[in-house]
Amino acid sequence: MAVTQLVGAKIHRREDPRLITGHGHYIDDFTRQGTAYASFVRSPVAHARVKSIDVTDASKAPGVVGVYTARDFKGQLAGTHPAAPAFVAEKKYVPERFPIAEKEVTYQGEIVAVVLAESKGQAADAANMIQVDYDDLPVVMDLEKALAKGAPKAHEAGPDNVCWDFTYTPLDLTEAAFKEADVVVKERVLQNRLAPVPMEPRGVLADYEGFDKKLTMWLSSQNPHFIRLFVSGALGLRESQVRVISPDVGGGFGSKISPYPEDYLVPALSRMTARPVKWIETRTESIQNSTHGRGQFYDCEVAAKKDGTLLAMRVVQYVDVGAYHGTFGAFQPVACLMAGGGYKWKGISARTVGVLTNRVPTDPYRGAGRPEATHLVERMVDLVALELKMDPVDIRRKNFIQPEDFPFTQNFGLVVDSGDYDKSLDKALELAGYAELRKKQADLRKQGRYMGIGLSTWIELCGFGPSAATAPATGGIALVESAQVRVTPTGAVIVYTGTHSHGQGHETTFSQIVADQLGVPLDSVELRHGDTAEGTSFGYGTYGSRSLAVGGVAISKAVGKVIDKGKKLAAHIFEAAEEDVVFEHGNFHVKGSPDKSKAFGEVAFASYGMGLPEGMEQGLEAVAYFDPPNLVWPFGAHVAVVEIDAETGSVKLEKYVAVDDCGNIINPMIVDGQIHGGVVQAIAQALYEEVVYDESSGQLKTGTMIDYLVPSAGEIPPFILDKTITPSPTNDLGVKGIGEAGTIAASVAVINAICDALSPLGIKHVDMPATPDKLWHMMKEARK
Amino acid sequence: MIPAAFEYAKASSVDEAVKLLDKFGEDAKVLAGGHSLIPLMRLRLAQPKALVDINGIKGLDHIEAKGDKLHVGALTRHFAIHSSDVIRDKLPILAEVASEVGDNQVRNMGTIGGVVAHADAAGDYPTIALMLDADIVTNRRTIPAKDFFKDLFTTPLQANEIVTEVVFPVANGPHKYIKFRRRLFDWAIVGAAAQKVDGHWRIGLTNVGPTPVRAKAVEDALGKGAKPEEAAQHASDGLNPAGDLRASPEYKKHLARVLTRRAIEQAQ
Amino acid sequence: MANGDELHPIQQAFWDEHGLQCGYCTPGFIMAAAYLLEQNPNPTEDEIRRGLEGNLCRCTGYVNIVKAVQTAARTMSSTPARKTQVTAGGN
Repeated sequence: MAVTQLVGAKIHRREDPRLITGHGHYIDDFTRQGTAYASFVRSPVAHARVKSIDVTDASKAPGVVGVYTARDFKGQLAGTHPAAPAFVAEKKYVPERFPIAEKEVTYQGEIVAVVLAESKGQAADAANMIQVDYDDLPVVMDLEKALAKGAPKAHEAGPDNVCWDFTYTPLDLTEAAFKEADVVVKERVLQNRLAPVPMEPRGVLADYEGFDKKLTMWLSSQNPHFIRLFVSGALGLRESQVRVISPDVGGGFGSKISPYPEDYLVPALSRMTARPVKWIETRTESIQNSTHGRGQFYDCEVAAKKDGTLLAMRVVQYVDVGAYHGTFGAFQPVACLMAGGGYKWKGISARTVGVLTNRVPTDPYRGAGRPEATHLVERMVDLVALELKMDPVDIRRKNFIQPEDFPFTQNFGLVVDSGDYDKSLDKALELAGYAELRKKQADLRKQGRYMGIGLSTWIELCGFGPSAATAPATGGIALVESAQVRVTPTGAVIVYTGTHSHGQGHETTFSQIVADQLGVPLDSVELRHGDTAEGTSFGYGTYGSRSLAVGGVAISKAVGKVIDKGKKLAAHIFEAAEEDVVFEHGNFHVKGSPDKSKAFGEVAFASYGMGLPEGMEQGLEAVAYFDPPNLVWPFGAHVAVVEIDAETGSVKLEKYVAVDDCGNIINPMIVDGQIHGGVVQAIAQALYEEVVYDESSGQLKTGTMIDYLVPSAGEIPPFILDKTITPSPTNDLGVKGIGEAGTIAASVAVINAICDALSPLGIKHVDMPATPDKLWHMMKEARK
Repeated sequence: MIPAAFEYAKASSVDEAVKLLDKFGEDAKVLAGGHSLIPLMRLRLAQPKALVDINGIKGLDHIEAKGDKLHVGALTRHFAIHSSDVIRDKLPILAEVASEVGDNQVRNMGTIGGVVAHADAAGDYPTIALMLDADIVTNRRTIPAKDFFKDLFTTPLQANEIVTEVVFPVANGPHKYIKFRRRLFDWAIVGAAAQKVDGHWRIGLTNVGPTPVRAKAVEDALGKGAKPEEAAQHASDGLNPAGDLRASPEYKKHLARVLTRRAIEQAQ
Repeated sequence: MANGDELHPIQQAFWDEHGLQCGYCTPGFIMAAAYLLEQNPNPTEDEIRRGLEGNLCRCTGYVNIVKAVQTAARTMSSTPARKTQVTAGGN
C-alpha cells in the first residue's frame, strides 16, 4: 500500500453536502408518471379466520384503480417467504407464508387486501371502506404457555408452536464442571422486544414495463441484490429482468435486510395494472409491521469456584419468532454461540428454542444475537461476583482470554482472532475514575442514595462472512463481498461495492482506502452502490458490521488487481522487467530511478491506447470477491454510572465511558459516530423502549412514537470515548467492524449499574426496560 | 397517516366561526394550534366532517392584567405565555407550565384555549385553572373551571361554542409545577402544582384521573399547620387513577404524594 | 439556507462535526438548530438538548448534533453578519 495519508484521518463525509442541504434522495423523492398508490388493509386482530372480505364499496370509491385480495395474487406470485437456516440447521415447523393472507391472519397488521388509487388519500379512504369479517381465534403470546401441551396454536394448521428446538451442546457436557463448583448462580434474563424505527420508514416504487418485460424497483433497503433475487423468483422473472435501486436510505438497523410482503405485492400490482405503483409505509405501519428485534428470554446457570474462576454455563434461549419465521430470524441464536463472552470456560451447554406467537416476526436488529449474548454473560458474571462479594472488575480480569491466547478457539469452535481485554478495561476504568467512583458510592450509600457503577467488557463477532460458515447459513449463497474498480482513460476511478450504505459513510471511507492505495486525490474516486444494474453480478448488502471488513477488503483487492495490470503496462513502457516496477505515491517507476516515472493517470490513458504488451487487453478495471478466512472480533469495555431516585425510581445516567477496539481505523470521526448511535440504541433498550402487546388480545399497545419511547437529545448523557487498537489478522487492512459495537456493549453496562445501585436493598437482577414504575415497585418490595 | 376528507373554513371573527360551526353542525371541530386534533385525524381516530380554523381571528391572543385578574386569550401560544413579562409578573407558574408543554414545535403552535377545550387528562393548564379557580370564557358565557372539566375529553362546551379566553386570578407568591415524565417532550405521567395564594396553598394534580384534580385534603392539612411531607400524604386521597403503559395506578398515587411534597418544598 | 455554494454555518457545523449519518432527520435538526440559536445565540449544552427535544434521530445518538450546534453558535457569534441569515432561515 502507498504511504497512508487519508486512511486514519478525519475526512469530512462526501455524502453530507447533499444531505445537509436537503438534496438527499430517499424513496418518497422518486416518482414516475402515471403512478398509482397502494394502501394496504391490515388485520386489526392478532389471530382470526378470515370469513369474508367485502370490497364492493371500496371498488366504487373515487379514484380507485382496483381492489385486490389474496386470490388476485395467486397467479402472480409463487413460493413462500424465504427462511434462511442461519444458525439453526434444523427447523421443526416453518409456516408457509404468502405475502397476503387468505384464510387466516396470524398477527395484527397482516395484509388481507390492497387498494390501488390515483392518490394516496383516495387509496387510504377506500381501504377504510373494505369490510372484513373475522372469526376470532385464541392468541398465542406468552412463550412458556405457548410451549405447554395442548396450548392454542399460532397457526391453526401447525402441529404446535415450536419453530425450532436445537441443542448446540448437551447438558452433560457441563455436568462435571457443575459438580466441582463452589457456587452456582441462576437467573432468567429477559430481552425486551424492540422496534427498529428507522427515521425513514420503508417504501417501494415499482415500475414493470410490459413490452420489455422489465421491472425496476426503488426501495429503501440495506440489501438490494438479495431483494432482486427473492422478488424475481417470486414473480417468475429472471434476475436480469429486475433492477433494484436502493438510493439514500434513512436508516435500517437490520429492519431493511429481509424482503417484506409489500416488496412482492407492489411490483406484482405494477405488472397487473401496467402502471408504476408506489407505497410508502406510515409510521404506525412501521412500528406495527416492520420486523422487530430481540423478544427473547434466557434461562441461565453459571458454575464458579469461590476464587471467582468461572467454570461452566448452561443456557437455554427462548426466541419469540413471531407469527412467521423472519428471513434471518434464526440468526438470533448466535447469542448461544457467543454466550461465553470474552472469558474462558470449561464448558457451555446451549440450546435454543424458537417459539411461534401471534406477533409480528422478529429478525435481526442492530447487533442481532450479540447484544443478547453480552447482556447475558455480563449479567451472569456480575451475579457471580455479587455472590462471592468480589469486585466486578476482578472477576472479569481473572477469567479474560489473555492476549497470548489468540487466536483463541472458544467453546463452540469459533476462533477469536485477536484481543487485549485487560487493556481496554484499564483504559475505561481510568477514564471513569473507577476507584473514586467506588468511594463516592460508599459515601452516597451512607446518605441513603442509590448510585451504581456498571461494567460491560464486551466482545463481538462480525464481518459476515467466511463462505464455509455463511453459505450453509443462507441456504447456498456465501456472504462474501464483491467490488469492481473501473479506471477511465483520464484516470477517474469508479468503484462499485456490493455493500449498501445507509448512514455508515462508505462513500467516504471506502474512497479513502482507494485514494490511498492508488495515490490519487479523494476527489478522483467515485464510490457507487445500491443499484443492481451497476457493478458486479451480486452484492451482499450491509448488516452484521461487515461492510469494511469484507466489502472494504474486496475493494482493496480489486484495486490491487488494477495496480498489478498498471505495473505490467508500466514495465512495458519503461522497457523494464515487471518485478522491477514500483508503484508508490500514485506513480510507477523502475526500482532505483524514481525521477523517471509515470503517473497513475498516464498509465490509465496508455491502457486504452495501442502498443500494449503482448496478450494484454485494453482498459484498466478489475473485479474482486473477498471470502474472509475468519470472522472478526471487536471488543471493548464500557462503564456506566447511574443514580436512582430513591423515591420515584427514576434512573439518571450520570456518566458513560466507552473504550472500543475495532482494529485499524479508516476514519475515526465515523467510528465515534457509530459508537454514539449504537450506545444510545442500547441505552434506549435498557431504559425506555419496549414493544408491548396486550397479552389477551394480541393488540399492539405501542403503535405510535408517543408510546414507543425513542429517546430524544434530552435523555442522553454526554459520552467519554476512547480506543485501543488491536489489528485483526483476518484481513490485510487489519480492520474489524464498529457498526453494532455500541449496541452490543451498552445495555448491560446500564443494567449492571442499576443492579449495583440497588444491591444494598438485596436486589440482584433487573430486567429491561428499567422503568421508574418497575424500579419503584422492586424497591418497595425489597424494603418490606 | 392521511386524514379522512374534511371541509375546511377559516374564520376571521368569533361570530363568523360560530356561524360556520352552526352551518357544519355536530361533526365540525374548531382548529386552533392543531397539535392534538391533527395527530388524531391523521390516525383517523378523529374524523370531523369540517374544520373551522380560528387562527385568523384577531384579538384572541391577548395577555392582559386587569386588577386582580389575568386575561389570557384562547389563541395565545404556549411560547407567548412562557415569554410574556406580564405573565411572569402576575402568574409566573403559568409561564413555567407553558415552557414545559411539548417541544418547541408544539409551543410555537399550541394554544391555551385548545388545551383547555380538549380537556385531556394530561393537559397542564387545566390543573392550574382548576386549582386557582380560573374562569373559562366562551362566546356565550363564563364557566368556572370547577364546572368545566367534567370528564375525560368532556366539557360543557356546545358544538357552536368557542373558548375565547381564560381568566386567572393574579398570583405571584411561591409556586412550583413539577411534571414527571420519561422524555422531555412527553406528557406528564403525573404533574403536581403548588401555588401560595393569600397565604394559603393551592395544590393541583395532573393526569391522576379523567380530569385535573385539586388536592383539597393537602391544602386543608397545610392550612392546619401540617408539614409538607405530612400534608402531601393526602395527595392521593380519593384518587383512582387508571393505569397505562407508563405507570400503574399505585405508582401514580405514589407520584402524586412525592411530587406534591416536592412542589411545596421547591416552591419559590 | 446555503448561499449558493457557501453553506450556512449551521450546515457547515453539521458537516464538520459529523452531525448526521443517514441524513433523513438532518433538515429538521438544522431548522430546529436555527430556531434555537435565533432564540438563544449562546446556549449551554443543556439548553441545546432541551431545544432539540422535538426532533428525533436514530443514528447519531445526538452527541455530534449537540456538538454541531455548539460549533455553529461559536461561528455565528464571531461572524455577526451571518446572524441575519439565521433569522431568515429560522422563519
